[in-house]
Amino acid sequence: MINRVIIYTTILILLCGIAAQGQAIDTTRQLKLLVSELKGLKDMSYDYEMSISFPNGDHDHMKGVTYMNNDEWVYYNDCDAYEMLYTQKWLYKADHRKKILTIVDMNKDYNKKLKKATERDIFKNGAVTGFLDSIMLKTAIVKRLKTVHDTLSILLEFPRASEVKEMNVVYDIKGHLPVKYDMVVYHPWQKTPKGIQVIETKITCSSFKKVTEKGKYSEDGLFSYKTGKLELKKYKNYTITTKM
Amino acid sequence: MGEPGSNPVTYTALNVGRYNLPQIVFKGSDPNESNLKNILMGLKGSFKELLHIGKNPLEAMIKANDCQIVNLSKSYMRLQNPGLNKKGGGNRVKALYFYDQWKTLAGGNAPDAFYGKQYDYTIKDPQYGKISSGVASYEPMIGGDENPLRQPAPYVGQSGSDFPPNDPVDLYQEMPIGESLFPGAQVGYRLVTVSSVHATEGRSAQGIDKYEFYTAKDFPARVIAASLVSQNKNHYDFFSQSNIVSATQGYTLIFNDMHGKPKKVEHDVYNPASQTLQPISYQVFNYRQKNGELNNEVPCLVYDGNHMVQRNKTLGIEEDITLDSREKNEVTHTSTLNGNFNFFIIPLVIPIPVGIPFAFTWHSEGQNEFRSAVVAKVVQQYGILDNVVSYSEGAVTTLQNELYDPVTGQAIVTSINNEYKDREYTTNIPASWVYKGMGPSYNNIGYTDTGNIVVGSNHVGTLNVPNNIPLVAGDELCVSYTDGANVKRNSIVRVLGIIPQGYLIDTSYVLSSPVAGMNCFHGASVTIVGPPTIPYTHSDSAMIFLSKISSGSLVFSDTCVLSSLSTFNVNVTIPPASVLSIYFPTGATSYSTESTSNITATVAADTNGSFKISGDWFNHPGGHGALDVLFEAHIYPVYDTVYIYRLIPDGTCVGVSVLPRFPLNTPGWDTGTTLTHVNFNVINSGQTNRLNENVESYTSMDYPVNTGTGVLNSYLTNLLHLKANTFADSNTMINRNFLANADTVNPFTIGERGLWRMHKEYNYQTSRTYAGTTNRNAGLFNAPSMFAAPTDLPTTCFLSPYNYMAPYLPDNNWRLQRIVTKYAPNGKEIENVDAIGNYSTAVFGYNQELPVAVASNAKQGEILTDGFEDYNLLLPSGNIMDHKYSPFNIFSPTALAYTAPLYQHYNVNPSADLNIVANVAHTGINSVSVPSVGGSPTFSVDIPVNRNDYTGLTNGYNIYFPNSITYPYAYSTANEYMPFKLNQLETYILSYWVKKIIAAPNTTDYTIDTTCGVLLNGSRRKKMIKKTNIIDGWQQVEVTFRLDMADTTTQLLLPSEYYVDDVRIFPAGGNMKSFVYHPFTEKLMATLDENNFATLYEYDQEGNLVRVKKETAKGIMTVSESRGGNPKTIFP
Repeated sequence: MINRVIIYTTILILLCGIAAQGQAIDTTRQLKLLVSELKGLKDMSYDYEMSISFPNGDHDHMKGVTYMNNDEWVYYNDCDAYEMLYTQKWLYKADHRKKILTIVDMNKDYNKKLKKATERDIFKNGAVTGFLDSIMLKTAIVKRLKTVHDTLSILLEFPRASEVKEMNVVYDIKGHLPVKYDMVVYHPWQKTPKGIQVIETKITCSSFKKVTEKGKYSEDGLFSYKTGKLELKKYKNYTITTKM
Repeated sequence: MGEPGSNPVTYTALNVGRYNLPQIVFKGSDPNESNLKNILMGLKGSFKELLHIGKNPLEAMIKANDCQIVNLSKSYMRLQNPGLNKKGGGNRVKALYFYDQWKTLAGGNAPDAFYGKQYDYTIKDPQYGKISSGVASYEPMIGGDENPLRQPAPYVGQSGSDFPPNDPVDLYQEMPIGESLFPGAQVGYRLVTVSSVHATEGRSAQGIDKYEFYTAKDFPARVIAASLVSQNKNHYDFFSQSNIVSATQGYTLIFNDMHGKPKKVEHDVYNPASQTLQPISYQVFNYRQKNGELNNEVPCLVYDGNHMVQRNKTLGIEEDITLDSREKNEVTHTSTLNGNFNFFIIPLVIPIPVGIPFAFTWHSEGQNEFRSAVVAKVVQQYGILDNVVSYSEGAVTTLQNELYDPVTGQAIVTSINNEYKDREYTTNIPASWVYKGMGPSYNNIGYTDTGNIVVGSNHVGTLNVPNNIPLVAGDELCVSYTDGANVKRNSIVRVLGIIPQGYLIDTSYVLSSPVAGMNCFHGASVTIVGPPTIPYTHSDSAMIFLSKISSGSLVFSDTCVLSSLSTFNVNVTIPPASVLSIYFPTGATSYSTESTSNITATVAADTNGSFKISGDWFNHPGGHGALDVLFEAHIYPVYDTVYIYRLIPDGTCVGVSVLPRFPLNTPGWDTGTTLTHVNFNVINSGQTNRLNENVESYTSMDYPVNTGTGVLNSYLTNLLHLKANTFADSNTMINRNFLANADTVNPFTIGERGLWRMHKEYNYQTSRTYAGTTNRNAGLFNAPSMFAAPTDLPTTCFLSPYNYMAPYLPDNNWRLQRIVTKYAPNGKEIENVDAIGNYSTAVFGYNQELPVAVASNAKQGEILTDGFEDYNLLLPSGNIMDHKYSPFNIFSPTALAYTAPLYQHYNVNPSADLNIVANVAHTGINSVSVPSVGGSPTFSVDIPVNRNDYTGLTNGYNIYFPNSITYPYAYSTANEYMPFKLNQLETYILSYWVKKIIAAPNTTDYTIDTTCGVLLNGSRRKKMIKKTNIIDGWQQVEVTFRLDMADTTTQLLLPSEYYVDDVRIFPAGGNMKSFVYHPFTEKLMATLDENNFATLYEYDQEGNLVRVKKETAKGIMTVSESRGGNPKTIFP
């Protein structure tokens, strides 16, 4: 009797290994699917909320909305700290903390190499692709994966040496839009006798949606520049740090 | 990582190598190597590093067995020294032995003996027993690793990191802090015991001397480190990061000079009764201490604006403070990355963390700021002697330093206990408290200011500055100015004094009538009348007006004018350093051109009251040279009214008078020019740092300071003695040849002023109190101090020479003891007057170093002695400092055997006939041989007569300094370094010794030509007489003669074909003693008494005096003889 129990148990353990391997294959496929979906995102907006904590107790918090349109090369970000618009023609940034305004004619005054690199990183998803390929695919460990109807929920963890600690993505496969995106990043700060102190950054994104009224994300609501004359429509009391 | 399995020594060595020796640890990183091998090594090393990137470098080094081997031959280990002994500190005396030759001296009948002392450097320690008493002030820098103070102070040279993994670089700094400032390594002994080498033998050798010293054990060097005060101010947010760290720390290093100072000297003898050593005398030196440390807070006498008061001051501490402040501020503005934490989450299509480089416009700012301030204070503390306790023959006396001078640190008041155990307080008042010119030069050196200069007559400039700026007469200024031609120039000038602009009559000041001493006026009373109506412009501080009588007549006789006015006493209170003039109104006599001339007397700085009109004050440019004739002509026939008024400055000053060092050759410094844009800087102070001179000294049974107010008493009680003296800066003589031209007339430059030397000595003489039943307080007296706070001095147009005190003569018990009237230019006292008015003088020869004659009742320049010994001390010809005192100077070069052309540049006269002869002398080495010129039996030597006919100096000097309050320094015989001259109406004694060049044997008396002697005015002859028989070949002759007023020339007629030596001339009313020295060794060879008889001193070849002989009328007698010698044999 005892021998049978041992035999069955041994068989079960062996079979468990086969099952676990099968699950790993499945999560990898799901992760690749998610990465593929994320790489394809190019026109949407979402709300985000970001916080940062420093080992000395300092905190910062930021809340805003981001709009991306890779086809028309528009990047817009409006948060507590700044309002920013990046188009093929203009770089506009209103820094609320310093009360300064930056307006750059991208074709005229911007470094061409930098402009090209920036556009590659942002509008061709160069940076996102790099992140997804090198970090998410290579180092992420799927901690939890759940598919309910067309919604994929995935919780990722990363190795100890990685700066990205945790990522939680809820993705609408059918709608081809994220539903929720959380990420926690640790950055080593300094080594102390008690251990390594880190900076912790958290971001939570929600309300992903397609944008129909795109005129809202143009320079029209921010400024006008005609015949060499700049007219501000917002933040008129800010200091302009650039020359037109 | 933390010392990954490594030996701590290895770990530390690796860290030190990484930080300090990277070219060794990381091959190829030596920037000084550029050859191919090094480059290849570098590539190899880099490749190796690439392989280990991401790993802790220490791991690789440890795996490579780096820093695993210890080179013991170059290593050391410090251990504790258990024996309290250490070698080093240099050699020290163990014993001193003296051997005699007693056996030889005793003819072999007694053994030799030796004597000596042995030195012991040990001390008894209660814990360790007998140990060395040596204490090292510090360890030598070489081998300083043995120093127990050399300890590591760890710090982190470079922070570690987690990724890439890297350990922090832990280094250490060597203590002590500020080691280079520590005292030098020197061993001092706390106790040195000296005993006889025969201490274990005879009783007389059983005493010991103990010398105790303070060492660094008693007063060690101290280092005090304040705790580190640091502040961190950090701020972080998404877009900016600032790290502001500030840290401050202070270090104090306190050193002292006590190491090696004597602590106690004790002499013990063996007491047979108790069979112990017991002290019979000792001296203990106690320094001021508090809580076992040196105490430099001492009671001092300081000036509070009105008085000298007792205050505690810190003395004997020097502090150097060094502040090291550093700041490093890094501010990074970036548009592409965030601060220093190298990454950020960018919300793109999905938020991603991005690191650098990321080509995205993202403004951020980072700041790292570090500030440090380190203060290092180095304190050098000097021990201040508090008291000395002496024990001798059963009596203990304590000499206590009571009060100090805060400027010099000298004890001003000391006390000692007497036999009644009462304290006797001795007070010495520093002269610098009285005379600014003797004060510390730091008072005004370096002072800078601006103004204009108006150059007046004789190139004397008026620097338009107020007189309350810290200038004193004698200050040397570096002046830059713009001259009349608008050229920028520079010069060096001296401050002469203050130039007052004008004077007013002080109508409140009227003398009582009749004026005391005016008894020369006959026939009418002398009355005081109101202010004179005559106009006057003379700028004097006081005036006496003699106006024509309205009726009656007053007649001066010749005698009266000379005698009475020469002692004329008007009892005028004259401000010190001022001028009093007698003014003759216009029309007073028929000699109108001279009647308006003024007679001015300079009043010395500490004179108060009477003055004396005499001598050269009447020798004004009016024409007459002789005092009496001039004065008689002016006064006669009559004056009956005397007006005496005092002039006071009108309160306005035009500035300080300044004169260039070379007035004629100072570019742009021309009379009538106004120099603008003047900037001046005091480069040499008229305050001459004569800080150790005293003006008053007294001993009292009372504490000299009022115990209630702390004020130094001005009325002194219960005195044992009291004396005082004053100083002057104008009693140093000028060589009359000094002023070659008018470009060297600045009195401070030529040494006529600015040299502060003792002038008058006073003693307080009064009756003493003898009361009571014991002698305890008998013989004391009370008296006012001669010095008090300056009062009644002008506050404007007056450059006060006084500091906190000024000399006064508060009562007549202050008796003048002595006046030093003349100092030679080289500082020798050459003339003084005693209490009853008798002059004494001294003559210095041998380059004015040795006294060759002293005389009483004679003035400077009135005595002569010439032994012809020091003429080999040549002076360059034409030297304006040359002082030819004797009329026998100058001699033939052949006579001196100086035939080389070189000597023609010196003061030798090839045409002279007198020759100096060596090894033929009455005293000394030399005499002079008198030739027979043309067969004449006599040889004539001119002796100068003082007729005041030298005008070069007086003319050149006095045009710059005429008689006025501004420049009261007219040149006269009073400040001339006189050569020897005969005075008219004076009787002299001439004496010298002669020896026939070729004499007949056994002669007892020379036949000297009767015409020898003195020839006055070319006609009156005074014959010499023989005073002795021939003594050892020499015979003394003498002549007494008197010069009449008509005698303007004098010749000394010496016998031809004789040697002449020891020629002496001095006033018949005086007394002279002269001295003869060896011309090379300068040893005293003879003294000549008042009768020109010699006392001879003879020396052996080692310079020891062996014989004293006295010359008498009956021959030369040996007075004493002694011999000494040292053994020629070296004993073991």
